[in-house]
Amino acid sequence: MSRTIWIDISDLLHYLAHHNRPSGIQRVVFELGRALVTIAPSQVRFVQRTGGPYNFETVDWSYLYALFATVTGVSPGQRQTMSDSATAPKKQIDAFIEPPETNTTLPALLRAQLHVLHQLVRMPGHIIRYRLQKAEIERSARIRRETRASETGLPVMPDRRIRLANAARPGDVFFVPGSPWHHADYVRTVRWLRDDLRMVFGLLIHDLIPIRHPEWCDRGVIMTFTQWHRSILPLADHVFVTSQSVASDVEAYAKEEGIIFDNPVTPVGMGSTFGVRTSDETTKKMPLLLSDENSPTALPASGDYVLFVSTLEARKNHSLLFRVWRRLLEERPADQVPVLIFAGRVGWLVSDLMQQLENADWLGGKIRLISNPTDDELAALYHGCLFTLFPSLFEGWGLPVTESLAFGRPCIASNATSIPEAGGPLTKYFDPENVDEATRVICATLDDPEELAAWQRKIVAEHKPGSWEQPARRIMTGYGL
Amino acid sequence: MARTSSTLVPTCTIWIDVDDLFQYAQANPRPSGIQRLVYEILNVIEARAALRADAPRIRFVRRSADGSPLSEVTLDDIAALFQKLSGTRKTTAARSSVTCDVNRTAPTASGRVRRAINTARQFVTSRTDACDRPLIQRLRHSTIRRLENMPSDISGPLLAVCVSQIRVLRQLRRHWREQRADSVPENLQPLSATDSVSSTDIHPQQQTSADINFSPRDIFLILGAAWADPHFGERLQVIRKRHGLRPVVLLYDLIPARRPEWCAHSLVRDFRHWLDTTLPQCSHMLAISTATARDVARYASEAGLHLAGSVRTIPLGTGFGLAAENTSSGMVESGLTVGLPRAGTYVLFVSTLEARKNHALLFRVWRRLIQELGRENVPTLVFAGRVGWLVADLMQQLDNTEWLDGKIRLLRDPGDTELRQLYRGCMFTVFPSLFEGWGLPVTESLMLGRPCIASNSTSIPEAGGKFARYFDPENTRDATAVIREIITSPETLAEWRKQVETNFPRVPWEDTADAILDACARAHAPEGSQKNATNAEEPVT
Repeated sequence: MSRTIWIDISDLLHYLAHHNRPSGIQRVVFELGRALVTIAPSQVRFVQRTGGPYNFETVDWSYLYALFATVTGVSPGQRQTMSDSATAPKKQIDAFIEPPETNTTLPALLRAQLHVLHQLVRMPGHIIRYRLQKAEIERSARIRRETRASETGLPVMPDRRIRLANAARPGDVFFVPGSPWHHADYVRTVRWLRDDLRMVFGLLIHDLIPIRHPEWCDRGVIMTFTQWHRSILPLADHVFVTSQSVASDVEAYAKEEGIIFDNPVTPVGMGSTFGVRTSDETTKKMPLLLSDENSPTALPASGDYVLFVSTLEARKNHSLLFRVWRRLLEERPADQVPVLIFAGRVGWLVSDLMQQLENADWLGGKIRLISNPTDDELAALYHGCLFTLFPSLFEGWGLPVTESLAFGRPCIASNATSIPEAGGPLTKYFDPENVDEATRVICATLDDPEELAAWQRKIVAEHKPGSWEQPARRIMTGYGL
Repeated sequence: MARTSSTLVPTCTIWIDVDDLFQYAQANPRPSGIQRLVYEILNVIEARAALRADAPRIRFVRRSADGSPLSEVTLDDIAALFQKLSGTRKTTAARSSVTCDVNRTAPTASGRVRRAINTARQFVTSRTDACDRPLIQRLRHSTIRRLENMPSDISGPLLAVCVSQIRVLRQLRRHWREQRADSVPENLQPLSATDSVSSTDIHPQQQTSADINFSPRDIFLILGAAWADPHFGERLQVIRKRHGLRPVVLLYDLIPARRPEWCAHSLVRDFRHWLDTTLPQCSHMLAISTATARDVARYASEAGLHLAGSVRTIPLGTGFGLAAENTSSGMVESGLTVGLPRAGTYVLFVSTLEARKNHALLFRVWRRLIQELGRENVPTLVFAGRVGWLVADLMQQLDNTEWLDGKIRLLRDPGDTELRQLYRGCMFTVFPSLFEGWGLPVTESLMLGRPCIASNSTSIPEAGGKFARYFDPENTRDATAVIREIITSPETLAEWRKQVETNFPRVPWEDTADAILDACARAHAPEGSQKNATNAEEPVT
């Protein structure tokens, strides 16, 4: 009798319900889930926490799939409302002593109040649209289940939720690929799984940044993350990590805390394609789709820009590139400096950086921000860029680097932590804390278009996009499944 | 001393503009670097002028209350203003009683200044009124939490509505305050409204330009932060055209123009406007460092400004702030302050906390040092200064690490006595700034006999000379290596310190004043001889 692997995706579902773009961990959980379903459809089940620490119910993969596809593909028009609200108050910065020069006359106040009411009136519309979207997800999940059933000839699985307590058998495996750190009582779940249900517990650690480098994290995450790992790690039967660099970190941490693992910490690596679309349609169709005039009009002309895909947060080191671009503009004429595009959500600990960019007028437009890009927009951005940059100070893997290679675009990346593992020999590196060196490497690439073209050809010829089935198989093997 | 004596020319008067000092005092409780520096020059310039063969007269002018561009003030007025500016910190506890006293007794000039400053304080504190904050903050937090639990498609627009609504309410509050302020008695009014009132109070017997006699080719000397006045260019034009004065300007740095990212939009706008309208009108331009002189030339060529000549670098006095007093005695007597880190256990960084000063680099360096040397072998890093702008994220990062578990300390708003003691007790100082016009903390540290490891950017090597050690402020590894070498080698440090203590050359403020007077003499000379004078001394470009 084959054992089942139960995968906790509560945090992914929660995240997708509250954010409009998945970031690194969510993408990894989704891709791993999909790969596991593909290689062992009968052995993989997904569960979601529905209440207390002992309440888990199954979720069908089709539902998760439909939800993820919807979220990553939301049209830019819909996105606009969100980015508007995020950027509207940016002009007012309290740090400066002088008050913002806003009009305080009564008519101006009335106008502003009227605007608020106008926005309020549009709220029911938003709610209705949200409800419709939800129904659409349910519908496409059902269609997916039905088509799969008709393909395999099996009866349609009803989307009925089953309680884990009733379905799990001793020896089954429980796997946490994501980030359910905000559950302070998760340790009770783990004890219950192991001691009452006689299950094997394992988790995937993406990095130990909140413990090792709390300076880059949200205060709440530091506390929940540290507490969660301190209580869970001693109970983990299997610990999987993304990279060799994280493995060393985890081993060092375990030693400090006096934790002894039964099984060695296992680096599984990461795949390199992402999103629903890239593997559904073949990758060959992508360029065709995007060279089309369909590509969003807001995106810059291809070949004129350098791309940096990442959430804007202090750890990702956007400020380094700001300084590099400042230097480029001092050293050469503006028309010889390509535009630098930051593509990503505006995250935490970057308000001062954003203010500096604002003060400097985004270097006269030489730096641009494309916030919350959809997967299609991202793909278009990758296809049109000269090369990509990834100056991050600390990573557990470095998805944007492998992503760039998978799109056949050269990447100049930071040499810190795990990034060389992700980038391999086809990537160029620099010290992310040395502006001189970064400027030198970037200049050299800009000044030698022929070399850049050769480098790009080499990537297209030699790079094999890592599939997600590899890490999925390593996890199955690790569990002995 | 009189190098460019031109005895044929009638005696020249140098009109020094001090308008910005008075403007500054109305809005700020303490002098910043520029005001201190100007004051040092003003203190010696009259005596130095008297020693010269051409013996120019020194007069001080500012805008008058009635709007005419020039009215005379005395050095005593400036001294009083400055004394109050520098001495206010210790009197803050007694400020309310002082305010009352001043209101009742006959107002002296100095009392008026103090009152103006206190009014400024009250105005500032009333704006950030703390009493209603906890409630609003609680409300805000619970609202945010509730929004977080909603799907983003709904919470996004809702959040936008909330933010706009809050803004409307804020504006409403301000509107109401402004209404109220219009009807309050004079002494509680915001400063902008009392501008004219307080300025006439400070100078009851000032002369306006109608009463002053200007000779053609007299000098109009601009030493301070004149860019705060948005109409300075127009004022200068009137001064030039109507009174025939020749403007000479001293420039400190071009940071707002060259690095706008570190400045408020309004400052960038005002400063560039000031440069664009002022520089082309000036007969002579002086800079406190070669780096600044270079920046001025670069800016002028980029902005297409036509300048009368090149920019000359003048020597900057080293006796400054703390180092202005007789250092050895000053440092011995001041061992009274308590609550500071133990001497010999820390490294000091004196500076306002702002993005440009690059505190972030030292945070990273100290993290590496702890990792490489072990906690017990790394001295504490002390930040001493006001918490300024664009460092909220850095402060949050420091908070997140519990300030590297205590290895970094922040001593906010240190007083002069405290600062002196901090300097005395430190192993050495650090100054990783990314951009400066000079680098006063470097000079200050060296004057007080403490070695300094400093950034090698812009003007800082000019300030530290061969007595400081340098690193690239944008290279953490380089900075770590230089600092680690000194931390791990006490003998090198001791030797270096001895060298600094005995050999660091003191530049008297008289040298600065002389250089300025030279430039004034050249500007005063008739066109023909002016050219010769310019050619004779090779200008710095």
